[in-house]
Amino acid sequence: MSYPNECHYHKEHTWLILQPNDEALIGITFFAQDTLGDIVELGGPPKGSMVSCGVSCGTVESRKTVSDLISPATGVVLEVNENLRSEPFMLNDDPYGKGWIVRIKLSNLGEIEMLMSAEEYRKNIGE
Amino acid sequence: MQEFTSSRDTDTSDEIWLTEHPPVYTLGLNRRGVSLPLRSDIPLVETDRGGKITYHGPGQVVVYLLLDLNRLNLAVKPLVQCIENIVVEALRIYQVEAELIEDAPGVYVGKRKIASLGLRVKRGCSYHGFSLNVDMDLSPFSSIDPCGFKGLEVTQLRNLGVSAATDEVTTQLAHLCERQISFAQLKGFL
Repeated sequence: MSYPNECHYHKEHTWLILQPNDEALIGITFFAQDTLGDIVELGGPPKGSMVSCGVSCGTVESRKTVSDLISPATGVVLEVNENLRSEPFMLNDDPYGKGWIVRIKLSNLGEIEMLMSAEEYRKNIGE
Repeated sequence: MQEFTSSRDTDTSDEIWLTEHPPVYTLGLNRRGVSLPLRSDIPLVETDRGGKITYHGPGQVVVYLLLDLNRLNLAVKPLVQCIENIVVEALRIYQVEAELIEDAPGVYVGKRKIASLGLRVKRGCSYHGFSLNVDMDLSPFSSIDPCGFKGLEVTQLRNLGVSAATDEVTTQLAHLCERQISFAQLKGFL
């Protein structure tokens, strides 16, 4: 299993990577895609919408099951990864790369300190 | 069902609801590429489950699984396998050999679908579930592409020479749900 060190992890199995200008990329973790199975559909938050830390901001469908996508931080969606509409399997194949879900403008940088490091997240999922 | 799930806490017991529905088409949350049924005499209900479109009617057992997946230590993939096992075991009781098809969750007999599934997981708890065709009018299925697969044929226990009543199959499913969920839970903890 792979958990890059540059990611900050939320206990609901999403990650966040900080970018310049208080922006961040968000996606799901390797553990999430592995336990969900093949993802066939992503219902992510639309551009311009507000997402809140720890709150559902969309859905992921795998194996006839719709699960919630929990945002690891609060902010406004600046950009949506449109490729996932036609290639939702990128969430499985490359969860930290081509499988990024949205880019957001962070509203509260303090939230990032509440997220887990790779090491803490590994412990949390019992690795 | 939604109400039960949103109001449950970590001490709430899991529940399994077994029922039959009057004729109804139900749509899953993601409707991309779904063609709607042509007939207007059967209502169409939008739901928040996974999967595309299906039909429910008398003579089909519908099983709702209201489970705390965190407490059971069950993820989506093993839960779906568990549901498939429940149906496979139920069919075995009636000497019907079932098949699973990779990338197309559900249970099939001779390439025809006999059981459908669709779930929603919210805050780690599941709702919706699966259905098994026993002794029903299958003709409403011909107006849809079940689960989004074009030309997929459906079957039922009666067409396979099984004369069991729907009530009897319901009872068998209740026992099997309990047993298979315990097995899956044990595996999760090993």
